[in-house]
Amino acid sequence: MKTAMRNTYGETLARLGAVNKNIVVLDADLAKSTQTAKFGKAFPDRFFDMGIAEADMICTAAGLAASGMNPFASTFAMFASGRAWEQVRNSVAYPNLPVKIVVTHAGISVGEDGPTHQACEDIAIMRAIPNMRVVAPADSIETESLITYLTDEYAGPIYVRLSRMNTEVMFKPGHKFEIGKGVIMKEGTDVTIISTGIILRQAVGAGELLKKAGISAEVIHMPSIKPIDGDMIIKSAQKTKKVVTIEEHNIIGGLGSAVAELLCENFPVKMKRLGMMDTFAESGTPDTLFEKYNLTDRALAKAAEEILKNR
Amino acid sequence: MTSSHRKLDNVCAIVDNNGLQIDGPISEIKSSLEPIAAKWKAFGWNVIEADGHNQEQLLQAFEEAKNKKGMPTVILARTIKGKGVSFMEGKVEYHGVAPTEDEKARALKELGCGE
Repeated sequence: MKTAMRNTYGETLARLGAVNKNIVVLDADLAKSTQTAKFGKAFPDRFFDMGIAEADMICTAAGLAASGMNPFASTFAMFASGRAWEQVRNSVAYPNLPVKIVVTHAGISVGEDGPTHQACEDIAIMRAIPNMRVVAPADSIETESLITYLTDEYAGPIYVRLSRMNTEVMFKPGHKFEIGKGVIMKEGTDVTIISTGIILRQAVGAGELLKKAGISAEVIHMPSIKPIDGDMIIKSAQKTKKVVTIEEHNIIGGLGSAVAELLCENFPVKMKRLGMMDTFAESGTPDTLFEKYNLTDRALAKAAEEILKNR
Repeated sequence: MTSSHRKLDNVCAIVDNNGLQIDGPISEIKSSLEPIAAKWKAFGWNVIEADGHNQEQLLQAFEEAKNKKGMPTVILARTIKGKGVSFMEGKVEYHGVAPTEDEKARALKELGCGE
């Protein structure tokens, strides 16, 4: 079954908004795309459409947070991380205010909108900001758990990376998102595969392809890129001695870099990172683009087989 | 635009307009920054112009701002950078340059602040 995590985001906010009167939601003229309009319809007095003014949106969200509210600010990944970066850094992260920046339309799976809207640098530039946390759930079930956690428990700045496309449901109901924790989807002994966000589908698929080829892959989903689950990754690397990462993000600064930083300092192993190879993509369907840029289960399985050959 | 759109009449902005940017006078660096008043008006603000060194004018402007309903107010305060210190007045370089000990002593003397 396929669902859109941004629908889940809007629905969850609208549901929790009835219980938690502190929730306020801001958008920058994309409420129908990010699905925050669902909250806006239910609670018009706690919804602020700021127009195409992302810097204004982030500063206003910071002000609302400083006044004791629980603000969620949403737009496309490109605009929250790109246009409003300075406001995110100086007005949210520096004063350590609990603004939840929940973005949709991240990565190349934006598809036809093209490279101007395909944010593939956002993990890198958000991860580099002190106090900021960066997470990318894999499906609707994990998204719902994450948004509930952000509403009830987490009181700091965070960047939540959601995708536009409808995606397979990867988890059973009841699955819980945990900050700083990865999820072992499949245990294995020959090679470790780590993905983040909706690319989990490809990672699980590669695990199955490798199994057919007689290779035992450990498949790890890492929704929490910062803080990353160091214990889980190091333990897996100690077991398999080979790690392949995959993400719909530039090869510089994303999940692969975070894993490499961790392993280099703690337990260096042979690694291969799959992602956008420091290039812009183009307009196309998500699946066409995944195919072209080697973000498929087959390309991932092939990379894992190659790293096993060159030991 | 958000303040005017939401009719935030308890918001009062102050523009300290000394006519200088860091790299030089506004007239040389980006002359089309003027007219500033017309720009704020176009964004839906109540605009009050005042001499930024005249306390009476400023107090009157704040009073007007307080009484203005339905829109935010901006006070465009005309100022002179380094006002009151002869060797600093109108000098672009004093944006970010700290005075030397000697300059500090001279400045304090000119401002009537004893050692």
